[in-house]
Amino acid sequence: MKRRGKKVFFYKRKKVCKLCEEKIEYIDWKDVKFLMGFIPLRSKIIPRRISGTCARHQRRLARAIKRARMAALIPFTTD
Amino acid sequence: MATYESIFILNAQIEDELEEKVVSEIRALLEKNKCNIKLELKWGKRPLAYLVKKQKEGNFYYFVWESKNGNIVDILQGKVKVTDPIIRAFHIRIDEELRLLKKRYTSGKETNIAGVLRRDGAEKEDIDVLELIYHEPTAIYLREEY
Repeated sequence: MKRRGKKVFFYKRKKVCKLCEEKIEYIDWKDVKFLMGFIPLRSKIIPRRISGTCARHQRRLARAIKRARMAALIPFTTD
Repeated sequence: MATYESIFILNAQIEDELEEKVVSEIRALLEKNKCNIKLELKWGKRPLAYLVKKQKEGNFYYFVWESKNGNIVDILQGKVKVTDPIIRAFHIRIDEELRLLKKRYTSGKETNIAGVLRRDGAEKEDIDVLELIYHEPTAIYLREEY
């Protein structure tokens, strides 16, 4: 049966901030294992629109990653 | 009183005596400027994620200290500049972060600190937050080739 003029809806799972879910308040720049989850392959920081992290946590996360880079714990780039 | 944490990466190829001398000089400089050293740790030799001053490996030292005077960061960096064995150093003010964490912890709300959900902070008011958050770098990212 054809349906004309009707929109087809796709149900997208809503992205939730991982850090809010786990109730993480302080992101430690020394916790490399944790930070590695947000810098895959090219070691670029995953944008908010993809990871679904909330603005507040993204800011803290970016700061922690940049600090870890300064300490040479994680690389700036990977080829 | 502001709390700072600083990291010093020393050249891994220098002799132990020189290494000790450099670290004791840093310690002496902090004490001379009336800083209260709260934590001093040697993480030891670790591979660096990228080349720093042509070095692949570094000897990590981690300090947490308190001070009333903010100029000490400048004094420390001045010292770093004239000391060759230190290949990298930086200092972070963690005052605000500790305060926020303590507030949250003592309010009785759930907080995830170092992978553990904590809610039992309501009674303990004089908790040392530093002890809770501190952990050594768990894993080091290794690049196979430089």
